[in-house]
Amino acid sequence: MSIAQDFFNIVQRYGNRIAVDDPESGLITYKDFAGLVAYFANHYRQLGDAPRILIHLPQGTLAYAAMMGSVVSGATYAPVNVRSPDARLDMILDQFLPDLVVSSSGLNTNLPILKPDITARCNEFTIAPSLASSYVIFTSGSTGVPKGVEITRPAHARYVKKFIKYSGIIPEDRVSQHPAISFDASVSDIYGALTSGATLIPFGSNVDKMFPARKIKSAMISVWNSTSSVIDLMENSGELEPDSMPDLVVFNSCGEALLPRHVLALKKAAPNVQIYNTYGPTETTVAITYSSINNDDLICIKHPSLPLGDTAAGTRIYLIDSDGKVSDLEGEIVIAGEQLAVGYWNNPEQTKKSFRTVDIGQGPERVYFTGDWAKKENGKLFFIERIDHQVKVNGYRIELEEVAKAVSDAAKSAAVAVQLDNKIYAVVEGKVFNKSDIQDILQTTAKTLDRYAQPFDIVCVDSFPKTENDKVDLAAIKIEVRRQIDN
Amino acid sequence: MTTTAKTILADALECSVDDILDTSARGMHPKWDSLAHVRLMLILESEYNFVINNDNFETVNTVSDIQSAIEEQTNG
Repeated sequence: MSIAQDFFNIVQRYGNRIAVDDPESGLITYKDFAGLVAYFANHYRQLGDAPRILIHLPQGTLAYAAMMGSVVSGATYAPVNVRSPDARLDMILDQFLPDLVVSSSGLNTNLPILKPDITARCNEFTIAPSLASSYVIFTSGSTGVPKGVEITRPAHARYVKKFIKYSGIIPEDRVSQHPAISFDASVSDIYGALTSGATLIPFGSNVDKMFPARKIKSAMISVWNSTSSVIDLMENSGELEPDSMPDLVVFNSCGEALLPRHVLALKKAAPNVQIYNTYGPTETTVAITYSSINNDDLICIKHPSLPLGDTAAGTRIYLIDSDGKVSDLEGEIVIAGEQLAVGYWNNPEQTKKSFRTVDIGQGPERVYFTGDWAKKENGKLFFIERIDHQVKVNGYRIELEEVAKAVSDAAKSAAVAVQLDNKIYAVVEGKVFNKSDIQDILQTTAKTLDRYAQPFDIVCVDSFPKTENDKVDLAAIKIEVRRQIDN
Repeated sequence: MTTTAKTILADALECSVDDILDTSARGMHPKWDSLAHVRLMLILESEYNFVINNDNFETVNTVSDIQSAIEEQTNG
């Protein structure tokens, strides 16, 4: 099983079909797209065995071909967001140490850069067998340095196969490519479409991202993969008119909790849609559970989210309670099986902490401790809460400690970060800031934090409230933030 | 002169007009995040027949940009 081989088979069979419908560069057939993929693959091959490729391109045909070229040639790639601040990109470059950077804009680096040409083609399409990892996705790290999650080729291929199978993608489908390529949810779109013969449609511009209902309608999208908070965005902007998305037949919810209100709102606008809820951290290759949501599931509103669903073939979930024992009722989600990452790129300490070999009753096996607490009821699994300081905003993973560190450095004072109403607030101790000071601090943090991780506002307190154990009392801080923003 | 622009921006940012300065700009004002920007675009669209596109989504970034967008629509 290999993505490269599946892609090659699709090109042979559907060469004249449209692979990518890119508003920037136009339509490209599978045959032409394969020529562009081969151009990248041949370029990478000249760098030696299993080179590391950093892909710094906007969502679109070039980025997809650069990634598929890596898969085909036996390289390992790391996709980054062209909108990320330079300081963050520098941290990723320092860790990943790429042999080549593929970039069409001026990324500031002394490393070799390939500035690709959309018209480039190569006729030699050779698949190179490789044991190298397929990709590395960088996520928020609590120390302020992004963590690179390293995914193997078999894990990548197995996940994509399962995604295509349950979502039922066919060559006639028009598949959205909504999440940024630095977000692992994009793996589902890109490889799901391009190894099925379907047409991939990038939502590359901010207008497409912020007004997706318009794009789904105008581009006749049939398969849409996104975070659920985008449905709130559509609802708030009055874009979910009844029957406004008649072509949409599959919605795949990923990256954050899907709630009954999302399902009801989407069903109104897209009456033909089948909704899937999925769950899985980047460390276990995009998603390991999926659940087809039906009306009965909407009754389960006592939980924060809809059921996570059944585990995909070849993967296992255990619940480990607070005593460290396996539980049938509730506990931290611990994942085992064929989709586990190698670990964190060049970070053995963090890898050792999160990926452990334990005996849960079936002999020693390697597992990933997710930090997600879940409950099981009537055989169904429900996400309850995080047990650490990681939060999600619009599906993006954010370590609150990373935000606190950035604010603390900028404000030159102790800081913590909390999440309220799906927004991040930073709380600074022992200082009083006016609006201009806050603007200055946010301008400084914008140099290291991605836009989605930027605090919505900064709140000042004389001193942090403490718990009986003399730890910062985050619950009391949230109450203080609420009080200040309500005033 | 920029009163209308400031009022619209305050609506979009869900804050008081007093919190909007002549120099308020996207990325500088703490409440002018991506969701507030969407609200701003929708207000301009619904009240001034402003046609949202990739260019103006990226370039309407200050109080004076908003004022120019309004004047362009009202002056025809």
